Amino acid sequence: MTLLLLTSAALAAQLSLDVGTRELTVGETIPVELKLVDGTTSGLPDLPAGEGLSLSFEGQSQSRVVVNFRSTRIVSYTYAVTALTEGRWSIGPVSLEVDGQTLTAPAVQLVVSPRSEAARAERDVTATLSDAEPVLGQVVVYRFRFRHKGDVIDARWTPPGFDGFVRESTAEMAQRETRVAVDGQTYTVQEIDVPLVAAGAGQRTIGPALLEAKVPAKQGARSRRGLDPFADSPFRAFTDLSAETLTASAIPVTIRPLPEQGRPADFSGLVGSFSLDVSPSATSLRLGESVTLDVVLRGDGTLTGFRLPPPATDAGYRAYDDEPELKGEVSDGAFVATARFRRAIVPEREGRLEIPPLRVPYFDPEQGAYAVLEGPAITLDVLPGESDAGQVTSFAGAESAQKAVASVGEDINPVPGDATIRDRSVAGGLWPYLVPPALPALGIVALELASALSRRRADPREALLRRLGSLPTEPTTRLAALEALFREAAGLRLGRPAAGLDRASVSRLGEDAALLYADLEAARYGGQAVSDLEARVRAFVERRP
Amino acid sequence: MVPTLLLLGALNAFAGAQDAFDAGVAASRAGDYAASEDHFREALEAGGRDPAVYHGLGNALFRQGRTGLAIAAWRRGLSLDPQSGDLAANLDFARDRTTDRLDPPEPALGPFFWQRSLSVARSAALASAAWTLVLGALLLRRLARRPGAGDQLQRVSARLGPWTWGAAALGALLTASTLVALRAAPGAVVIVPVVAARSTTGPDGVDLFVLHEGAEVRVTESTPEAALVLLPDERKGWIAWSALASTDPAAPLPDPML
Repeated sequence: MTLLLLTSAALAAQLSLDVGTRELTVGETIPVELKLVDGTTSGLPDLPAGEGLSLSFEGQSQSRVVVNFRSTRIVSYTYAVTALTEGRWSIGPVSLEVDGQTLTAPAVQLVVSPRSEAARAERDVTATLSDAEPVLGQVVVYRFRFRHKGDVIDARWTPPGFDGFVRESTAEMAQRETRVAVDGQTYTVQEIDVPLVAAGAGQRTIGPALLEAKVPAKQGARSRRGLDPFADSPFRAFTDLSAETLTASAIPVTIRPLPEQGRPADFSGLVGSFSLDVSPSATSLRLGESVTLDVVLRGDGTLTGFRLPPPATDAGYRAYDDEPELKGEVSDGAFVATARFRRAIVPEREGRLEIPPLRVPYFDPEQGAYAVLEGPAITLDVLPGESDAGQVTSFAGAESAQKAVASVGEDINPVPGDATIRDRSVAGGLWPYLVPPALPALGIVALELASALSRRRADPREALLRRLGSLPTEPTTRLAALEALFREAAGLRLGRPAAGLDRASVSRLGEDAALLYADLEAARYGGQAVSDLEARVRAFVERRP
Repeated sequence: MVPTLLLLGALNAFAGAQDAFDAGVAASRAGDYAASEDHFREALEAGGRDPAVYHGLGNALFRQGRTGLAIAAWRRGLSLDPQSGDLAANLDFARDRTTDRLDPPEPALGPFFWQRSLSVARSAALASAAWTLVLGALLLRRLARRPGAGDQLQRVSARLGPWTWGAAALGALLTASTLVALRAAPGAVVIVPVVAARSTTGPDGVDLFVLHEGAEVRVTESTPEAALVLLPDERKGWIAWSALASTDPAAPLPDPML
């Protein structure tokens, strides 16, 4: 029965939440529709759902309905709701801003009942952890198990959040499928094993894992549809499927810290149970040659990041390690890791060389205590090789009794006591570095300013032109003023003082200037009358150089 | 008189830092590493952001078993003096004793490879000197163009022409590399025994990977509470700043003992 909840009067916009049924069982999925009638809104509405429900948006559609000559617009938002946990859970309420007003569809409550024993007998999922109280750094295996009878199509597993753990990087998830018989019934069992490393101490919870699958619909549902022409068709299996979601319970975990008591100073960080094999490629060699130690470390703990301990500095040999080969796998629910190291040993002197046993301290969670793996001590016979092979030559000469200074230990370098302390950072900003270039820049600016100011002083030619306009009226004085104007104008052009000019220097300004000079001399000092003298002087002063 | 006073004032500004540094060295030689740490921190607070101070502070921290903070202090010193062999050797020594095998992060300097060997202060000083030469040459050229300028000044100005271009190019390159180095994201060092990097800063995140004291990481984003760290294999995760120490000499060095 469809339940329709209306929220406001007929002609205004309406918002409703349409739920197919209010009762469902764990794993069932039902459609939920949010309908907006005669209104417009933007964006997707946010539909809240209780913790025991899983909600996914399926799509949006729009339609128009004409009833009694009135067109009604309906926008539908479709969701799929899956029941994950039994109990009472609500969907909504939902509020939308529609055409400037807020419309609210009230919440709808759903009752989720547990799956029946019969349903669980058909299909079931469980999740387990190999150790619910691991120690920090320990590898555990998370197993998800799906048991089902009959066909299941398109099964998809959603892993949970592994709070407090990180995935072991050397091993993939392991999957396997078997068939088991229970009470005469055959079941298919699919298992997924995930290796995890405990990474954060404290109380943790590995969340519930989900499995979504399509299963054939029940026989009873088919009969309600009446006569079915495809009842016997083999293709019916592809048309009558229902979606089902199965949930495995969450797993509480306590990750314990490693104990401080008894921790060796050279603890390697390994947690688990391990074995160590060390074998040299040879036990006799010549000075200058090398021998390879093949070291295999195997166990049920993670070996990622582990490196062989370095030899002592006065060991009598140098050691060079290759990158290790790491492998990990989950088999039968147990994690096994193997690391192979190759160490090249280069002796530095002849004779018998004792390589002390490799020591690898680790923590064994089963014993609850620290333990130490020790490889065998290895003895090498280093025979004489080529001269100077493996030796550091002293430059004191072949006959010198001096030896190179041998290192007997390593440590950090001491601080120099005679340092002069300053602030060598740029924490105070970069402005001190701007001062030196700013000084010549200021000089350039000052010079340009001065030059611009001097260009703005009164143009001497302008002053001469002004004086031309105010010549004295008395003829003799006027003539003297004209001559002075001509001399000053000529001096400006020649870049020389007017008083020192003579005919020869004025002639550099051209024949007209020389003639004008001569005529002025003749008029002023020879008493000759020269016509248009004033006009010629005016033209000379006005003419631009 | 005034320049002399200014110079004396500048030299005296670091007297407090020098005294604290000398006291730190004396305490370190007497084996009192806690007191030595206090003196070196005092020198930093007095403005002595000097590679020698970070060297001494790192040594004092390392002697007290605080390897992560020691690495952070030495990294800061090395950023102020990238050519210090002692600081580089101390870092190598400490790195061999950390748990996580991580390549130390390199700052993103682009094509400016020389910035790995130059501190920011030094490259800024070189850029300043180059631009001073360029502008000084331009000033000489301007003076040579003035009326009445002597022939000698004009000859000197003409000879400087090609060198001016070279100095300008050098100044531009050094300025660019200084700015890139200033903007390069600083790194950080884990200073707690173990910390998990999480997918978010909120309670809903999951642990992604675990780092141990002394692990050196790059910081790509930062909030007041947490840093988004980046590993060489491109894995990222959020870590609280209380578990990290920045390698930026301008930032205060945390003191988890407080």
